[in-house]
Amino acid sequence: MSERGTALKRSSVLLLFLIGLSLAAGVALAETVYVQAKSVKLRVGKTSLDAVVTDLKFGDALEVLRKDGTWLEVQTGTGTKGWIFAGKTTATKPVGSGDDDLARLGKSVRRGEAGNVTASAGARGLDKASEGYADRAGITPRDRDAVDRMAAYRMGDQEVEDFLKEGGLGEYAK
Amino acid sequence: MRNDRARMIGLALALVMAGAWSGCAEIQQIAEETARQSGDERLAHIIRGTGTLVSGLLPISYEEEQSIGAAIALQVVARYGGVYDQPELTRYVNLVGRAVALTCDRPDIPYHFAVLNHDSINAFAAPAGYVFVTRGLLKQIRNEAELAAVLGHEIAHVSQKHILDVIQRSKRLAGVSEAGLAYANQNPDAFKMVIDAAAKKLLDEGLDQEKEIEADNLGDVFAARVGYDPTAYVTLLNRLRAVKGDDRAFFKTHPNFSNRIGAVQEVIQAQALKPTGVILEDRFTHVRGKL
Repeated sequence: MSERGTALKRSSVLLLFLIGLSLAAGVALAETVYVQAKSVKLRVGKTSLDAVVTDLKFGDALEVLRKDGTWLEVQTGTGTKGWIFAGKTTATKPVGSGDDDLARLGKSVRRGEAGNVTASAGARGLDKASEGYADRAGITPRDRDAVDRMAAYRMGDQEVEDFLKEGGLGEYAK
Repeated sequence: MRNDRARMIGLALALVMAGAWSGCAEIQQIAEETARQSGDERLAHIIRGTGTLVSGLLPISYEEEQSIGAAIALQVVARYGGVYDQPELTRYVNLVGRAVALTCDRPDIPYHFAVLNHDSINAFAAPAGYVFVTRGLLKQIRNEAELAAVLGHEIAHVSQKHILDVIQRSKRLAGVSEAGLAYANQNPDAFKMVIDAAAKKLLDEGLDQEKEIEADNLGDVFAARVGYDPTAYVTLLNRLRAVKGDDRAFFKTHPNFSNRIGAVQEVIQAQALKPTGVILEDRFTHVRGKL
């Protein structure tokens, strides 16, 4: 009994180990991608004509279920499934605008030094700091106006989307 | 006595560092004020200087980047003949640029595109998303895929914060660590010194060669993500090499074309970028007539 029992115990431990290993391998195989665009639509099928399930935003993590050409079937953190154009995803977590903790800290400390006088970022291109620079550098009114208009140039997301569609770009690729 | 003083200095410096890392500039001010009240003006000065040094080493925030970007953009426009204001062309360059920027590595800031009224063959980027392409370069471009890669190159300079790196360095080199960038309104001369140094690097000396190679590679990847043919950029670089030959003035600010072409071809192969993307020659040719 003792010898057989020991062998049985060893087999059980080995079996459990193998099950654990396969589960771990399963976890390791699950691929995560992140939304790489400002916004992107999750669709029920793998074409731009399919209905939209939900809108995803920059940096959202998605589990890849299946790949088919330039499209990925994914599952969101809340369990919603759908298809996304692969060109709008990345394998590494995107950093984004980059105001990480250190940058925010830098601004906070420098703001303290400057007696709470900061360069305010308005809707127009030139703020107090860059206007001051323009004065000192002798930039002409024509060139100031050009940078102002450049920064203020507005274009709707839909206009860009229509442009992509017309050119067969992005998820509208044929 | 000497030991007490050393301990006090150590404590004050620790407070300043703790203040910086915890985000409380007030701690630095308290330490500075305490030193001043105890009659030690020199120590107060040291505390202030240390805080400034720490802040000078911290990364630049987006809000500060916007001030810097606008100021550098002014220099670019002033030195390159002003902006060529043709509404259809401006709209088209913005559409291509924004399409590429949508899938770049930093898509969550606004990008602005303009054409410079200059015959030289060049393109520039200033921090916070200001991107310029000259009329001279547009005249060399044959299709939308080539333009997308050129704009992708400039977008990569912004997304990788290449110019901000130069600013951080030039700020130290110019000896203006005393001038945190938020001082711009209080100390505009120091701000001007920082911007002038960055503009000189960008427009006269050129960024580091590895930054240019990185921008080439990433720019082509961004364009390919949107669906443009990545080999279009190689075709353009070959055409520019034929036009510019051994132009030393140009190579002062960029790596030579052979190196750039080789690096882009390696990326296309390594990342398996498919040459099946679109070129869109007709759409480009139509707008090119507005030049």
